[in-house]
Amino acid sequence: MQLHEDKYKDLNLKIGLEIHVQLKTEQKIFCECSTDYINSSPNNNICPICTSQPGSKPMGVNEKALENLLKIGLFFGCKAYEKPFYVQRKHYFYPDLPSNYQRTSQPILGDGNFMGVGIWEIHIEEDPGRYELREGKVDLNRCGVPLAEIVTAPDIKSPEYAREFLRDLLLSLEYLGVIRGESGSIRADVNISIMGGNRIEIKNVNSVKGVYKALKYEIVRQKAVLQRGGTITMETRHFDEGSMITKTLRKKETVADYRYIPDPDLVPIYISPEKLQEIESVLPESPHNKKKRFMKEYSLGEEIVDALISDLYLSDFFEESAKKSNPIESGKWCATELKRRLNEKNLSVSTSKITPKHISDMIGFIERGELSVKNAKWIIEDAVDTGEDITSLMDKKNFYQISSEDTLLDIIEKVMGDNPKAVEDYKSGNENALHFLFGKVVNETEGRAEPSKTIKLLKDKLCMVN
Amino acid sequence: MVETIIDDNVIERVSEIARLKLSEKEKEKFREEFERILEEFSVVDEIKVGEKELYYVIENVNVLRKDSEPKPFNKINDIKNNFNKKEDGFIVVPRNL
Repeated sequence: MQLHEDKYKDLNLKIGLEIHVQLKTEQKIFCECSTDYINSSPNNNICPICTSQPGSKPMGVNEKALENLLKIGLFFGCKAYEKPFYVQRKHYFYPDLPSNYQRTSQPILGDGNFMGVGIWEIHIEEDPGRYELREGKVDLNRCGVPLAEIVTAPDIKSPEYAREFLRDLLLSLEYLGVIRGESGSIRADVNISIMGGNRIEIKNVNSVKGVYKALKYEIVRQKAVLQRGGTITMETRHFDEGSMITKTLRKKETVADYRYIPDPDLVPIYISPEKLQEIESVLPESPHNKKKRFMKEYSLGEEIVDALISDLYLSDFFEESAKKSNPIESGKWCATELKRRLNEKNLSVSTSKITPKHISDMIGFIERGELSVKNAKWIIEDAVDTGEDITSLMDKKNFYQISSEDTLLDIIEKVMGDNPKAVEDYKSGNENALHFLFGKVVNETEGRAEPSKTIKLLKDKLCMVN
Repeated sequence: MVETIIDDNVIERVSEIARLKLSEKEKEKFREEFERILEEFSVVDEIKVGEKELYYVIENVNVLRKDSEPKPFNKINDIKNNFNKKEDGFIVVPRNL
């Protein structure tokens, strides 16, 4: 079951993504210019090749870009096609593309899976330059930065899951070390259909949040059209990041308009089984194998494991904390409260201040009866935010659980004295009165009363009143 | 020889994709030129290539190059001189919004 899938069940929602990520290399894909298009003044990392000066020819494909792409594919369990692939020219006229065609390869790998979403195919292409639509300004520094395009099956069933999927996919790619650091902002084309209606493509969404917002908006818009008795016609829409809505793109190109032809300046590329083996041998454990191992080695449930392996930094973090604490407890805390807090703060364990020791220490406090589960959630939030060690957080927040019977009895007696009606109610058989009194004790102790002991003492004391 | 009809629709579509606004006179001129081009190229159809798809006549594959330190091009200004209009290092083109 995907996140919030239930909410959209009646809509028969199908979402597929075409995700573009920049592959990490020093040089551009077809020339020797730097790929650093951000820290350089406009139109400074350019040469006759990437700006398509008349007579220029591309150099051979940057091998590192191709290797990084293969890593992505193999990591997602894709298979490489046996036939050699060639680079094609996809023609269109736009100011960000001086050659008037984009070099884009045929699919190189396909048939993979990530977080239950099928990966249809992955290919390599060149990034165009940057075109500021509003100002009419063009910077060609980005022209020729290698890109991987990852095309998913329409297996995503809610905007919430699309967001989670993208976030975790980006983290995995970052973990693999194959994408450019600053490219955290992905670019995606989003395909969506509801109630078996036509597929709508939303172009050029530039952030994970944007994908979520664009999907939410499209669902509302399409539902409204259908409710009014209209039909959804197949079209391409543009997402406006400012107003967070999608708009019809008037001019639309079809596949035939792109006039794809094999680039005669580049020869086909063949990925040998030896090359694949070489790449595979340096890859970290795949999510699939990790899942099997976590379930067996740590006896964790599938749901918990799925949450842990969707973020490889988190799965490493978990393994580290499980060395010094009960792995089942550690898995549970990492997969639920910790992940929730990180998502809330838009952080990863690699970027937040929390360490595996925080989790193992915290579990120790819970097991010794010194910390309540409820307060442990607060501890996680603070550890993520501040990185302070658990002992000083316990002191600072005064979270030490009260388990001394004498102290608890004093409080219970006070609560019973203050609420004689509830005591009477309990005596006349109203069980709810017990919960009420327990709640009062919890409030009185600011949540620090040890629950099982408190209930037992409370019951004993109430019986004694009889 | 391939029968291709270069009618008004084709001319319209091609000019749209090319982002060009054509006058009636220009449309007529292009129509004639397109037909002539296709006529010239129809010679290619006479070549017997067999069933197999043939995109490359040379058998060379895998021309790749190692990634290394970037090598800045030393005549960037020569490229920039080709830009029609410049502002703060950017190329200035029509706005699109």
